Amino acid sequence: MSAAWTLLREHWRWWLVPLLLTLLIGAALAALAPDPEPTMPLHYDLPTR
Amino acid sequence: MPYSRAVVATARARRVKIALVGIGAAVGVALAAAGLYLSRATRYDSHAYDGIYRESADPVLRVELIPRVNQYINADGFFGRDYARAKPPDTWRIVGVGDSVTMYYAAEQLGYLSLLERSLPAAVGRDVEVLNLAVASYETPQQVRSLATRGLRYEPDFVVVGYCVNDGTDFVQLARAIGATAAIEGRWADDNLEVHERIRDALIAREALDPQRLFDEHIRPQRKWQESLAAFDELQSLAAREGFAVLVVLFPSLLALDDYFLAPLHRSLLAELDRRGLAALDLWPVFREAGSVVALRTSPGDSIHPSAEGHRIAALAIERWLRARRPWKQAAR
Repeated sequence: MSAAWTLLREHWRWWLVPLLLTLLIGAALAALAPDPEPTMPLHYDLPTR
Repeated sequence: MPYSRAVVATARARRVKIALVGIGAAVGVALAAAGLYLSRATRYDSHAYDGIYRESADPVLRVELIPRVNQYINADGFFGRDYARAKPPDTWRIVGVGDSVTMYYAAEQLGYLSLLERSLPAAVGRDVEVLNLAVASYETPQQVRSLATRGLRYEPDFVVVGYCVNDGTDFVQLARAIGATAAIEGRWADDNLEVHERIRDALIAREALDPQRLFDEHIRPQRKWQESLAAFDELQSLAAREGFAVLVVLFPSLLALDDYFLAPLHRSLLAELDRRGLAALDLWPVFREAGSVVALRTSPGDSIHPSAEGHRIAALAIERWLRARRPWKQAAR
């Protein structure tokens, strides 16, 4: 665990930059994508006699 | 360090860095996906319309919504907040009745009645309340009944009836009558796009696409059509007795609207309403002008229920109609 932690700390740029980049791309795509619209059910679950 | 070990160490360091880039990207994708899911999942409740019905003691209504069964249905059993029975002073009050077309999107407050409640005060110049008494499956007789037994308690100044083409037409019976039975095999209901499309296709195939004859021979004689008209008679006398004005909003089937096989149904209904002194707004030309009819459907296989965009367009058309006539200027009840 401590070896992995040391590795992450020593090379933080190598994982933090791609992480932030993907988040940035994700946020940009979400902002560009149209608002999702609720879709109404096709069936009514009406009580039957 | 000997040369060979240095090479191995460099290669190992490169692999570690590639792995770190991979881990960073993977965590980024996971976080972005989770964020997207949470932000969108909380916006709409996909269960808003589940388990909301019960049998009604009223033999005309047959079913009704269960009061307070979820956060969207009020104590009186309709979508929306609780409204005082007595109309508050200086308020113009609309009661809307209808079927699933009018009921859907009520939970999301994206239905045309919700949109009107938000937009009309600017035009009316005082408070406006728009109550949505619609219940999925209600046809015209049930809609008028629920207005008479529930809606009138709220002292409406104005009543909106959301009329859908299947409120006065049994499309399953129609498909059987013209031999388009393939259209209805295994289908769940009459408001399926395929049913409407295949009825039209059956007519085209027989080179007998005469919508007027289809209406005259197979829709007008239907019991459902006659019951719908009888309910409008009742609505007319209710309106006269109670002193409210009415607007019937006619939602078309969301098929190709340029070559619309239900045009005679619209014409005939408008004439019948006019005969009864009931105002009507036909959304067929409005939706036809809106461009893509597919964008107006809530889902690709559904020819009946408009999307949120369809509701937005309907609300704008109704607001335009109201602004032109200003029914709120008439003597208050």
